[in-house]
Amino acid sequence: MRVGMSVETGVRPVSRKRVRAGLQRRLEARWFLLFISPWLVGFAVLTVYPMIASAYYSLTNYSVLSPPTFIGFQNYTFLFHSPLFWTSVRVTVIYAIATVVIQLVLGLLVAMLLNLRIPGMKVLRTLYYIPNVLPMAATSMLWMFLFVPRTGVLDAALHQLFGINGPQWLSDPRWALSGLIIMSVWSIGSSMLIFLAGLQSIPDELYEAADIDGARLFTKLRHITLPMLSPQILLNLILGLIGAFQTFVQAYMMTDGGPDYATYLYSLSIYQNAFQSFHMGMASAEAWIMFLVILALTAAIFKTSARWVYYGGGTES
Amino acid sequence: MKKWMTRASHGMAASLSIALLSAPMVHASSTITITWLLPTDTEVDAYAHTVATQYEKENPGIKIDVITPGSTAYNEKLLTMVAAGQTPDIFTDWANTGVYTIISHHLAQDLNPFFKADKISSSFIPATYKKEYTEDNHLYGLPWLSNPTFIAYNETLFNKYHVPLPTTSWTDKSWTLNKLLADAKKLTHLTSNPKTSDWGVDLTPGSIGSLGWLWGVDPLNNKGGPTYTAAYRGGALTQTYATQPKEVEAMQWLADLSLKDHVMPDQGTLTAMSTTGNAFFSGHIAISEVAGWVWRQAAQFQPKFKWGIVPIPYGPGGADTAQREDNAFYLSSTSKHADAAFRFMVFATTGWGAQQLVKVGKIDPPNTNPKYLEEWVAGVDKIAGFSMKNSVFEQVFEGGVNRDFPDPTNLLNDSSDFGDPFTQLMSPVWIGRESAKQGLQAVQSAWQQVLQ
Repeated sequence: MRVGMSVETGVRPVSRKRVRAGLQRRLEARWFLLFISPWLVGFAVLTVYPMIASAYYSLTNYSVLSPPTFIGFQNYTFLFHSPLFWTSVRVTVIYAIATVVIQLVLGLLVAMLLNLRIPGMKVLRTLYYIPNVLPMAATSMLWMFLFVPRTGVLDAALHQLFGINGPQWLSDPRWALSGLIIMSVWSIGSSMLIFLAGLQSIPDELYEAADIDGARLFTKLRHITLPMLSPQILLNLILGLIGAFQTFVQAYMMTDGGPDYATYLYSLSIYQNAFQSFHMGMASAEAWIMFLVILALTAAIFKTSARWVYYGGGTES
Repeated sequence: MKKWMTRASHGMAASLSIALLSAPMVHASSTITITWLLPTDTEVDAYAHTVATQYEKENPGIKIDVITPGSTAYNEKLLTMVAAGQTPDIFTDWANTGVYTIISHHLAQDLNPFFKADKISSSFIPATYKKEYTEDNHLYGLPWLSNPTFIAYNETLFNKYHVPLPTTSWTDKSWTLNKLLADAKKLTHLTSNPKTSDWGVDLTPGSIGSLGWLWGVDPLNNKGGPTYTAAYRGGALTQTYATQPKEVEAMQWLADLSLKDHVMPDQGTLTAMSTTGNAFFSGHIAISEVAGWVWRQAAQFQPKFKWGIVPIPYGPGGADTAQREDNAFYLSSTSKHADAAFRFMVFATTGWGAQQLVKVGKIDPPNTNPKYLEEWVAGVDKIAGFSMKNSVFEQVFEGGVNRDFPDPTNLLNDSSDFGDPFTQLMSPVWIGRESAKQGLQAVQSAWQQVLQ
């Protein structure tokens, strides 16, 4: 028998202090649950339930207008055999790669410029971020006018500067996706802001030491800036990929997925199946495929990040 | 502190309980609520609220809940309301939720028993619409909006280039597509500045290539034009005919207007000219295909030039049929107040309600009583730039109503499976990357996949 236990029961006698502490903890737990309950209810009703429901609908033939009927994995089988599904995948992958690269490279370059200590920099930073707070619907309308052949700003600039006639940006299947990709330059503000915060946290001593060693600009960029910014690059990469895979408004408003399915982004395909073709079951299956793909990509990026992301004292385990 | 928090939480719980308990007490009164879903613009919104308010005043105990999600969001709103088990008592067909999509999913109920029970004759519904909304002797829709297709002309440009105005007679067989093209060539004057160029014509292929009707073909049947075949009655399609030679000819003729004849702006230029919602109102297009809503657009954009409408020209097939966009009100099959909702539907579309459609909604209600058309024509006369005599306009308009056939996408069950591939796969044809034959072959192939 261990010291301090009751002879009759073999159970350690509980002190009043400990009982009070236990009661206090339970009371705190109750208050915690009371105050967190609005969020818990919201999370359960608005996130968990729709996810479970969509998982079920993905296994049904459901038009929304009529009750669902269970069909097993037929929606998934149909999608994997549908040329249009693979078109939307191809278009989305091209769009995602291009926009993520643009956002990372341009975002970093602009952040480096905006990190210079010159007068009026705060105004410039604000100006660069403004497009990110504008509604995408309004931005899409604006870009539609920029892309107008011949009389639009873009074509007029091409003609004035290089003497070339621009293409039919949004009407030509060869150029429409490029148009949407070019438009993504507009929203580099978020990645720029994250990079800027990262740049400002890099200690000046590192650059001073490099200067003493005679390091040039590119060497400092390669051996100091990029390694020190690797956590921000990781964050921007993941956020950019998720955002690119979920892009919808531009394709919906500017091209409606056309011409000739050239801008048939995956999210648009989900929307059209759900609300225009009345194939909510199939749209749910598409949504789940996208969820799993994004999950897998994010996991893969995190797994490789141990090799290239530098967290100050060492790599994060 | 603890006591205060306990009291506060008890107080909140008590308030919540009272609120929850009192909710049924409010509804325990004799007021019934009828939900009415319709897609709106400013005028339709004003019409809906005007008739709802008047009906509530005349019928104490009935509340009309007008839900107006806007034209582009209508479909989503209807679908989500149906999914939530809250199908509105009265709703309309719109976008891809067409007549037979509604009927085949059993969303609406037959109106004939209600007409019979209330001893009201349905004879105020013109025969052409009755045919459109009747299936197996069940009348499902009460028409409230109809938009035939016409050719609009810019009289100012015709005068500028000394081209005689087209005929206003539907029986004048000299008004053909060839004549239209000849006029368009005379009216096209392109300059180095695209903003000052004048274009001869702007036509569209129709929602699934219905321009082919003028050539005597229909892409979804082989009966020599649009007829109420099984497909247009909500039945299952078994075959499509997108690659018929005359359909190919029709689509190539349309593409050539821009690519070969250079009398029609390309797609990009048309987008730039459509900042007013309709390129015709840019004032730089002489002849344009327009639908019945052109007067509503004109009232909004106040064109600075003189304009009017003429019939659809005869095509090589000897036909002058275009598509007509019709919409009806439906009574939900799950309505808990079907009798009251039906009476309100009739109120909103006949008599005083029909007058409000004309006066407030700026709509010509489909009705056998000619007085509504006359009142509407009198209103159209006041629209900026509209230069036609009332009597001439009336006969052109009526000809369109009588000759046109309903838009196939409003008839086909799940029409976007056919409409979307057509729009997407024909786009390379309009910019000359593919021939009409290649484009239609792609469309035919996509449609066959849908059938499978």
